[in-house]
Amino acid sequence: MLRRPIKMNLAVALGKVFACALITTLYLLSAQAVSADELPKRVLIITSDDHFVAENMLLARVVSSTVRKGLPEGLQVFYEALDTFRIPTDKYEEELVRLLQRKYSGERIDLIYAFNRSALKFLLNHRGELFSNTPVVFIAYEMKRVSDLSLGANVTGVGGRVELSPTLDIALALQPQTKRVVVVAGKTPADTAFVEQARQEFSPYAGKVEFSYLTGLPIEELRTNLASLPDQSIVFYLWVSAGSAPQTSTNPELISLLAPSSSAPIYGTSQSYLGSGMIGGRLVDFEALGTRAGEMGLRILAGERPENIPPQTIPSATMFDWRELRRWGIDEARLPAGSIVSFKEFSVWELYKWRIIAAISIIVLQALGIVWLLFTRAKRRQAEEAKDKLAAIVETSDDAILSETLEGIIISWNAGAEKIYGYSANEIVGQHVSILAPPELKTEVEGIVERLSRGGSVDHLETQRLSKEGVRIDVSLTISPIRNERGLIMGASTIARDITIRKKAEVEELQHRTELAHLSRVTMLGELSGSLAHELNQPLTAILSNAQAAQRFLAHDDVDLDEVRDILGDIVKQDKRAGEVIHRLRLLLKKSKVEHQLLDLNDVVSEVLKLVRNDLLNQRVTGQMELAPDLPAVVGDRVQLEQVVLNLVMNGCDAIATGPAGDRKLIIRTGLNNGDGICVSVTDQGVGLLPDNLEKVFDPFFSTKPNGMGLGLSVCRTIITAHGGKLWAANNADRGATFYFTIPAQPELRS
Amino acid sequence: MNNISSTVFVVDDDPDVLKGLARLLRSAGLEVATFSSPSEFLEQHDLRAAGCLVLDLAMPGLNGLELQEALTAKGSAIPIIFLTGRGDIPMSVQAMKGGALDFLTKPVNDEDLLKTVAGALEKDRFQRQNSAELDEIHERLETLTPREREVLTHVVSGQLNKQIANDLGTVEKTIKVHRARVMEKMKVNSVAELVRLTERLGKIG
Repeated sequence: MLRRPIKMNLAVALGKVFACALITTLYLLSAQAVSADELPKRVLIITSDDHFVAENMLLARVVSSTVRKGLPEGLQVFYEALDTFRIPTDKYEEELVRLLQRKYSGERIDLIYAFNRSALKFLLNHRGELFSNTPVVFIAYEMKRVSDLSLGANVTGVGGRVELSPTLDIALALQPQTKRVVVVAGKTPADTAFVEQARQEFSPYAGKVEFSYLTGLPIEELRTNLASLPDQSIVFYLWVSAGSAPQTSTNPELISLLAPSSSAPIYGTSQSYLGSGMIGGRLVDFEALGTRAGEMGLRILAGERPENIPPQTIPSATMFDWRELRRWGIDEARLPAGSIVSFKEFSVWELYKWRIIAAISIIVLQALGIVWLLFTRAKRRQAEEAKDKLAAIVETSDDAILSETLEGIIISWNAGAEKIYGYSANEIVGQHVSILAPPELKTEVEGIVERLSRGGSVDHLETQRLSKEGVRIDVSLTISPIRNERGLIMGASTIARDITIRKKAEVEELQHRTELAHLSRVTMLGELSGSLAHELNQPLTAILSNAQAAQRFLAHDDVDLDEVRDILGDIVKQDKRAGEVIHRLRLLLKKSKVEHQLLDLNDVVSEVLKLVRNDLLNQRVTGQMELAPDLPAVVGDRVQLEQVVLNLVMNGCDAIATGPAGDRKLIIRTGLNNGDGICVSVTDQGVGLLPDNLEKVFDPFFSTKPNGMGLGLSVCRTIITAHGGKLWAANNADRGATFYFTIPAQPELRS
Repeated sequence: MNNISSTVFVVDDDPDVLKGLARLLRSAGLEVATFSSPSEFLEQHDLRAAGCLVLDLAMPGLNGLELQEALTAKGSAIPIIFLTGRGDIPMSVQAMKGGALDFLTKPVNDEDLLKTVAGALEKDRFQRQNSAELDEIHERLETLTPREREVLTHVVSGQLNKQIANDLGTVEKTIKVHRARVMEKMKVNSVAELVRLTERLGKIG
């Protein structure tokens, strides 16, 4: 317990020692920085009245700030208000001199400012006993008023100029209807000098306006007077010295008492009156006086001799009080050029225009920012919702949806993909897509990957893929490149649809159609057997005749070998002919796979007519072909298209079989159909079809023939539809019917 | 079969078949003329030419049956052998009714064809011979006077001279003269011969 305070005391002591050392060091350092030459300048301001006089305060502020600015070493200002104006006794002045002598003995004063004539006069009067070698700069309200003083050496200064007629000119310009000018002044000799000046300067205006002079009136009386001025008057306030109106001390104070009740605007002479109720005028510019005097003082403090600096007269400045202009309804714009308007009450907008603009801008920007944020948030939310929806769609899709890198590495795998291919996402993500391709289609996958990397896509490619169990699946693939926001291809998305069932149905349908077509063909060929037998019999007849003729020739003694050779040639030829007929028949009879190839429909028609030639003959039917030359090719199955033409030709024959022999004509035409396809028509001159049957004849099992199965035309229509064409019937204008079918042309390909 | 003056006319629109058939017929030593259409044959055929016709049944334009009709109309009795690709019964019947000699199915065997052709030529020859005799009888008949023709008619009907004279209102003696002249003009020696001649002519008139 006892040891603790001791410890503390020790700490305090140590701290104190340290602080002392620090202070000493700082002091030494600062003392070293300030040399003897660079001691602060000492300036004394002397006024003859008290220092609360507005003009003095204004001047003291301007002068000291101007001088201080020019002095890096600093400035000390002393102020002496002599008050000799209010106490003008010799005794006081004597005592005052003595006091100042005593006060400033041993004190260095580098420069004295004398603010007004009385102060300057006091200094000049006591130059020998007081501040005898100190330079003096005076500041006079009116330079003319110091012209009677002999300044002597070491004294210079600045003075204003009281300009009365310019103020009156301005007043009359601003208020042209002015009839009366009331001049207000004091009654001391100084005041009287101004009144004299006024009378002199205003004399040229005597005819235009009426002048009245209120001099030396007590304040109340003066106020009453000014409050009851008639219209079209102005007040011209000159100067009221302190002694003139004992109730007041300074002119501004006096004006501030008069102005509120004045019924006319008050024009004046000094800047110092501004703000107390005076409207303005051509005013002694205290700001400029102080600044110039300050500059002058700096030159002197810098070593220049005052007598080398001539006194300067500072011109007055046109200045106005904005509040008074408003009060008297004078537009600021009508003021003379270069006028200074003080006490302007700026509107909030004028004062804070930029701040308001900035504030509003900030608010607007913030609002925009908030709106933008809300918007982007909404958008992001929308995008997220859309993304969620998309993700849900992808996840619930029956189709396999997967994505892969440009190299073909699988990076996403949906439930549909799992269902179709059997791999789970875990198993397959990271694998190459070619794992899904059957061995012979690996190159197809490579081709697709290569194509995607070039920006290509794959649209509904029907191909096969392998499931995990190795089962082949028919799929339709749609693959598109995935681009990043800069448009670079990052990978690809694949949508695979399982079309196994559809494919199977397609195959079954095709098979069914082929079988039906075959059945119909076989039926038709049965009807044609006589004709076909003839086709085959012709070459067989020729062969047999030739062969037997040859045998006979060879039995002769003198064998004509040339004849035999000729015969053998003919046999070969006829054998081939028979072979062709059989080939043609076999084509029609066999249940062949549908085989699409480029065909000339003119060939198809000619071939069919060759086949039925004998049948037509037997039925006494003339088959007339009108084939358009240079037909574009079509793509189709030759056998099936021949079957259609054959069917139409045979139907045509049947339709006209009952007619008179001479009319049994069948016209088979080919031609372009509106430029987009080829039309084949078979026109008969039979009895035509009932309008109801024009369409019914294409129904399965519909037949107008006693032995017809009713399959022929329905099969024909299936065939033509499968070829992308149309088959229809129409009655002719005269008689009979025409069956038409069209097949799309492949104009770029000629058969 | 070696009849030099007879020709086998072959009509078929298939030139190869035509050529083959012609060759076969020629190999058998027959004279052959070929025509590619019935109308061509009809235009060029001389009715007097001896021979037979081998005709394809199914041809464009005029068909075999029509050619047969046209020939009949022209008074041609040329034997016709029809060739057909199939045994079309109605057509065959029609052809046979029209006087077709035979009806052969393509492809036709040489023996069948040659045998049939030989038969046809034989028939033609017979027909031609027959018709030549009739012409002769006709020519003789033409030389008779109307009175002699009347007498002929009565004679072949088996009447006696007396009956004929009675019927014709003349004397028996006159009838005898007429009768002798008829026998002379008709170049017959007996009434029996005369009767056979008139029977061949059928109805006289």
